[in-house]
Amino acid sequence: MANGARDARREAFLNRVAARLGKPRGRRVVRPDFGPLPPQAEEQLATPAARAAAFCRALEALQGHASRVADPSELADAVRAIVRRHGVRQAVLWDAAHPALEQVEAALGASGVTVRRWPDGGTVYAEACELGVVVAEMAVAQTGSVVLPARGGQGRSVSLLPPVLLVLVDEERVVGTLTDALRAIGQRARSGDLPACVNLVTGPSRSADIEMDLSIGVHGPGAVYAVVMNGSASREADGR
Amino acid sequence: MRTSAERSFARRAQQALADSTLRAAVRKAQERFRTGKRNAEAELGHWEAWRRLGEAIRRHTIENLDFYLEQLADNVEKNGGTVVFAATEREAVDYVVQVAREEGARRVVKSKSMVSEELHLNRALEALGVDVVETDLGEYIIQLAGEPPSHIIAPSIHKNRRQIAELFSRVAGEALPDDTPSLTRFARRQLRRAFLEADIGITGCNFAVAETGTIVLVSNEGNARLTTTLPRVHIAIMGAERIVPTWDDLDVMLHLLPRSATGQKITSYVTAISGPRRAQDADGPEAFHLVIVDNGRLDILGTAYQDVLHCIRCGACLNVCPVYRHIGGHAYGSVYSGPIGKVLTPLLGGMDEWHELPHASSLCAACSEACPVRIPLHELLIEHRTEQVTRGTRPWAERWAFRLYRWVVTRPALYRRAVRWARRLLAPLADGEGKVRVQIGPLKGWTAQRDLPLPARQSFLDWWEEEGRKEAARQHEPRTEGEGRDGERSA
Ligand code: SF4
Repeated sequence: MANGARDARREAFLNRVAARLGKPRGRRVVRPDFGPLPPQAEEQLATPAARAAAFCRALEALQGHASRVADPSELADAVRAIVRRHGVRQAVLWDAAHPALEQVEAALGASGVTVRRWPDGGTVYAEACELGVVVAEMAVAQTGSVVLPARGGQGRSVSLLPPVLLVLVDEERVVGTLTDALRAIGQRARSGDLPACVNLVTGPSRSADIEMDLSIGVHGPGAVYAVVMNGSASREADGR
Repeated sequence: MRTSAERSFARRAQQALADSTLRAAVRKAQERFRTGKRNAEAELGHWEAWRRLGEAIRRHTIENLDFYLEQLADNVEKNGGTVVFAATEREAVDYVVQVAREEGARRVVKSKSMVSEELHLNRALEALGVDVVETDLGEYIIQLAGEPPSHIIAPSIHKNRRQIAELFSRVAGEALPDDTPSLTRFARRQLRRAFLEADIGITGCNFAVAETGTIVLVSNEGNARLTTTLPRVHIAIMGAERIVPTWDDLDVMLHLLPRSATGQKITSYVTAISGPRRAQDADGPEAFHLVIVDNGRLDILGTAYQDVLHCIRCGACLNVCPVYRHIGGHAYGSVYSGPIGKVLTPLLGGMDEWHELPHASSLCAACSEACPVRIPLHELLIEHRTEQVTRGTRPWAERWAFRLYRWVVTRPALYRRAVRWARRLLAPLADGEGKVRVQIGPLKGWTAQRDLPLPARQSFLDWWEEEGRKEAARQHEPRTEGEGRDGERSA
C-alpha cells in the first residue's frame, strides 16, 4: 500500500476514535498515578543467595532443573551431567562476552561435543543441535523466569530450537519479582536500549491441549536447566 | 464472526447437549482452570487490589485510545516496523494478502489469534494458494478437523485423544498411538518442518506497549516464538483495544492474565517484539507489519458497552459460566463464546443476527465476579436485553405476553384470581409428578428444554393471609400463667 493511502487511513481511524470518545484529537494525555502495587512476598528476599534459592525452587516446581555452583569445576560437572543425560553431540552457544560461556564451551569440548557460537552454522546447525546455551540478563525469584534479550550473537534460535536449554545465571542478577524485571526492561527500553526481541522464559515448553493432559516440549525446549553461579564462580572463571 | 452453518442457537445448543463426550470434557476443563485460578489468586494475595488496578489501567487506556494508538504507531515505526490501520475485515485481509503476494509467500505459519479468526484470514490466504498452518497444538488439531475453536484458551477441549490420534494418523498416513507423548512428538516434528519452510509468520497480540512500540505475546508452547523467529516476515494483527500505555501497566496485566487464564504465575514464554531484527541480528524477521483492526470495535466506544473493550481475553468468564458448562463453545456459533461472547458478538456482528445470545444466560453474575478487570458482564447482558425491548425487536408474542402480564399484575384482585386459575388450567397437562413436559403452543419454548412445575395448590398470598388469620386467632385466646414463650425461655 502506498504511504499516502496508509497515512490517510491512519488519520481517519484516529479521528474516528477521538470523535466517538468525544475528545479532541492530539491532546496531551498524562498517565495518572494508579497507586502502589499490592505487596508481594518475594519483595522480602533481601540477599542474592535467598533470591537464588527461591528462583531454583520456582523453576523446579515447573519441571525445570536448577542447580547452584560455587566454582568453575562444579559448572563443568553440571555440563557433563547434561551431556550424558541427553546424549548431547552438538551444541550451540550464544556468542557473548561472559566468562562462564568459555567454561561451558571447554567442558563440552572435553566431553566430545561439537560446539559452535551463534550465528555460526545458522538455523540449520542450531536445528540439528541437542543443546543450546545462553546467559540470563536477569532471573526472577518469584516465577523461576529468565530474561533473554536477543541482540547480535545472542540469537533467539539458541534458546528455542534445540530440545535442551542451559541457562547460565549470575547470582547477583536474580531479582525478586516479575515487577522488578519488567521495570528494569522498561527503563532500558525508554532510554533507547530496546532489542528487537526480549524473551522471558519460564521452565520448559508446555501444552495442555490434549485432554488437559500436561505435555512438555511441544515446540520449545522440553528440558530447561538453570545453573546459578555465585559471585566467586564467575570471578574465578573470569580469571580475576 | 459466524462459525457454524446452523443458524438457530436452540438447535446448536441441543446438539451440544446431546454430546456427552463434549460435556464431560468441558466440565473437566472448567474445573481445572477454575481451581487453578483460585489457587493462583490466593498465592499472589490482594487479588481484589490487583483487579482494581487492572480495571483502572484498562479504563484510562480505552478512554484515551486515540492518544495511545498514535503513540504506539509512531514507536513501532521508529523501531522499523510498518503500521496499518484497518477499519474493516476487508481492509485487514487485503493488506495481509498484499504482503503475502509481494513476498511471494507459499507457506504461512500462524500462532493463535482470535482476531484473525474474526477476519476469516485463513480462507483468504488459501484462496491465494498459500498454505496456512496453525501451530498452537490445539489450533492445529481443530484445523485438521475443520472446526472452529471452542474455548479462548484451550481451543480443542472438545476433542478426546482418540479423535486426535485419528486426525494425526490421517496426516501421518499410518496409525499413531493415542498417548499424549506420542501425539505431542508427532505434532512437534510436523510443525517444526512447517516453521522452517514458512515465509511469513502471523501472530495476534496480547498487549501492545505504547511507550516503546512493543508487541507482547504470551504462550506456553513456544509456537509464538518460532512464528516470530524463523519466517522472514512477521505480521502481527491486533484488535485496536489491545494496548497498554507503559511497561508498568504491562506488569499489572501480566499478573492478571496467566493467573486468570490457566492459574499460572506466568506463561512459559512472554515474548516482547519491537520491530524487525536489527542490523547486527542473525535471526528474527527482516520485516515487521502491525495491522490494527477496528472491525466494529470503534462503534462500541462512547456507548454503554465501552467496558467490554477492557477485556484481556483470559477466558475466566467461560470457566465459571453454567451455560458454557453445559453447551461448550461451539453452540454459541461465534468466534467468541461464553459470557464475553454473549456481550461482544452482538456488538461486533450486529444484534439482528445475534439476538439470541444475550438470552443464553442465567444472569448469575459469576462471570463478572471472575473477570480480572472487573467488566460487569451480566449488567451488559441486561443492557442488551433492555435495548431489544425498547427497540421493539422482541417477537410480537413475547411483547403481547408482557403487555398482558403488566395489565394483570397491576390489578391485585385480578392477579390473585389469575394465579388460582393457572393451576387449574395447567393441571390437565401435568404428569404424575406434577411437572408439565408437553411441548405445545407457547409452552414449548420452555418445555422443549426443561420441565415446568405446576404452580402450588395454594398461592403465597393466600397462604400469607391464612397464616395472618390464624395468628390473630391465637392472640385472642386467653393465656394462662406459666405458659407461652416467656415461660419456655425461663425453663
Ligand atoms: S471478559 Fe473478563 S473474564 Fe472474560 S475473557 Fe475478558 S477479561 Fe477474561
